[in-house]
Amino acid sequence: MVGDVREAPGTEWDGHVLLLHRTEGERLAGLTAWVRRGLELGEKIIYTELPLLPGDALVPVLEARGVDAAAAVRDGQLVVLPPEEFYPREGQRVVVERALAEGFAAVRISAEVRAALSVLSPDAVHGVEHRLDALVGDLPMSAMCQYAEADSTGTWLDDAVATHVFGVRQSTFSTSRDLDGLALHGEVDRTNTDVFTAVLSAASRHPSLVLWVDLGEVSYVDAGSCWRLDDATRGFRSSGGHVLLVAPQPPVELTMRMLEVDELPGMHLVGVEQ
Amino acid sequence: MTSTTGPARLHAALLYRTAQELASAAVPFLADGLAMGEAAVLACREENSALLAEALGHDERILVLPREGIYTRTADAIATFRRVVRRQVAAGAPGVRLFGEVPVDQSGDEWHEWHRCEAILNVALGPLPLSSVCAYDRRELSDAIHEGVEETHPALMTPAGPVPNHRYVDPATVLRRTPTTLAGGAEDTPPTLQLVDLDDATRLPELRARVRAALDGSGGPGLLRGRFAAAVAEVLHNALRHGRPPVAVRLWATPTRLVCTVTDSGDGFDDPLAGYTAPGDGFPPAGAGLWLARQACDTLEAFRTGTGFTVRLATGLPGSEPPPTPSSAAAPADTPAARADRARADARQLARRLRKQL
Repeated sequence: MVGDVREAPGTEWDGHVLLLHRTEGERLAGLTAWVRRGLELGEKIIYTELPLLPGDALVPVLEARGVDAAAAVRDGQLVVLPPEEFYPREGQRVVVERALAEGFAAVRISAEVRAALSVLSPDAVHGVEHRLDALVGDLPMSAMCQYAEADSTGTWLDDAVATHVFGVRQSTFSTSRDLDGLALHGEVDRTNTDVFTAVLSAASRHPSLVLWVDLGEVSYVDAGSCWRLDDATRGFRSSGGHVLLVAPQPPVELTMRMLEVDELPGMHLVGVEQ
Repeated sequence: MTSTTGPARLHAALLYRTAQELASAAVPFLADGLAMGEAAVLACREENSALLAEALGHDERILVLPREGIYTRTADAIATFRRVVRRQVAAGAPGVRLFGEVPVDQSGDEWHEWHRCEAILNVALGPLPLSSVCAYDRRELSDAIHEGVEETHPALMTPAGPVPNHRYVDPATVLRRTPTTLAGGAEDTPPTLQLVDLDDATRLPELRARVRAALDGSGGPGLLRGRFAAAVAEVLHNALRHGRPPVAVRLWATPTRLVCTVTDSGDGFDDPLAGYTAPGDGFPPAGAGLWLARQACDTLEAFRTGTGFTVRLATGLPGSEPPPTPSSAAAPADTPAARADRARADARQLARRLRKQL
C-alpha cells in the first residue's frame, strides 16, 4: 500500500493522509511518493523535521531516490521549516494561507509525529490533527502525518486513525473515501488488525445509521479480523446502525460467511457470489 | 460469532426397521416441539420427509432440508445446523427439533467420517437450543456401524421416548481412536512448495502469496483452492503465533488432491475437538482460526512428531476445471468488476431501504 517510487503516485496521496510505517524504508518510500505527487501537481510542499544528520535530511533523501529536490528548493516549491515555524501558535492555517498567497494553486504539508512531539504535547498534537482535518476540507491542500506503527498503539492509534479515517496508508492495508462511504484496500491479518479495528471503530462513530464499507479491493481477511469487525461495530449496530459490507472478493466473502459475520444483527454482507 | 443460547439438548439415535417404527418415534417428538412453539426441521430421505410432513398435517412451521446438501462434510453439516437454528430462533422459535438421517450407504472411510461427525455434533451443537434425533435403518447397518451409532448418541429413541444410552462414549475418546487420514500418497512425492525456517509473523502476507501462487498453478476448481489457501493461512498464523519456531510449510498440489503440513517445534495441543466448537468471546477469540480452517478443507489432523507438532490439511479435488469455451468465457457483463458493480447497486438499494426504515 505504501507507494512504490517507480510508479507515478496518484490520488491516494491527496487529502489528509496517515502514513503508518514499520520501517524507515517504508516511511521514505511513502514520503517520496507524496512529494513527487505534489511536485507533479505544481503544489507548494512544506515539510518539517527534527535536526538530523545531513545525509538523513529530506532533500538528500529525495535526491537519492531520483527526485530533483534541490531544484524544487531553489524554485521555492519545496521548503523545510523548523518545527517551531511549522506549528506556529496561530495555527497551521497561517502557514498554508501564506503559501497560497505566493501563487501556488495548492499546498501540501507533512511531518513525522516525532517532530510534532518535539514542540507540542500529545494532547496538543491531537488538537492540531483535528484542526488540520477541518483545514484540508476548507483549503486547497493535502497533509500527510507520519506515525511509526511500533509507537502507535491503543488510544494513541485510535486517535490518529480517527482524524484520517479515509486516508490510512499502511504497508498492506489502506483506506479511501468512495462515492458511497468508506473503501478498504489490501489484506487484513494479525499484522494490521489493530489498524483495521481502529478504522471501523472511528467510521462507526460518524453520524449515520448506515455504514458503507466497500471491500472490493480487499483480497484477504483472516479469522481473527472478522471477530474484530464484529467487536468494532457492535456498539454502532446495537444502537440501531447497519453495516453494509459491500462487494467482497470471493475468498473474503467465503471467509466471512464461514465465520458467520453475515449472521450478526445489523451486519449485511452484499456479496458478488450471492 | 453469534452468541449461543440455551442448555445442551437431546441428541438421540433411532434404530428403526420399518417406516411405521420411524413415524411412531418421530411424530410425537416433532409434534411435542411444535406444540411448544418450536420449529421442526426434517433432513431425511425424501420419502421419509414426505411421510413425516404428512403425518404432522403439513404444518407450515416444518422446514424440510435436502439431506444430500447437508451431510457432505462434518464442518458443513455443523455450519448448516448452526445457521438453521439461529434463523429459526431469530424468527421467534424458542428452539428447534431436528429429525435427520445420516447417509450410511458409503465406503468404510466415509463411514469413519460420519462416525466422527456424530461424536463431534455432541460438542459442536451442544450450546444451541436444538434437540435432534438421528434415524438409522437397522437393516442397512453393519455391526460396526451399529456400534458406532450407539457410542456417539447420549440417548436412544424408543417407542416410549428417549432413554439414556449407557454405551455412549466421550466424543474426544471416539475421535482419538478413529482414523481421519484418507489414502492419497501425495506426500510420497517432492512438495510443490516448501517454506522452512519461518519465525517472523510479519512475513505472513508474503507467505500467503507464495502459498496462493503454488495453489494457483495446480489447476482444480478455484473455489476449493481459495478455501484451502484460507485454511493454510490460518494454520500458519497459529504456528507462528502460538507454536515454537522454526516453522515449516510443505505443500503438495496434485490434480486430485491438495495436502499441506505446517510443522512447528513446540508441543502443540492435544484436543481432538479443537476447531469444532465456535470460538469463545475472548479478545482475541480463542479458536477462530481453527474454526475457519476446519470448514475450509476436507480434513485437518494435528499430531506430535519426534521433533515438533504438525497440522496436516487435505482437500480432494474433483478434477481440473475445463478450459473456457467461447460460450463460457467471461462475458463483459460477468467480469469480477461487473459482479462487484452489481453488488454495489444491490447495496445502494438496501441502504435506501434501511434509511427509510430508520
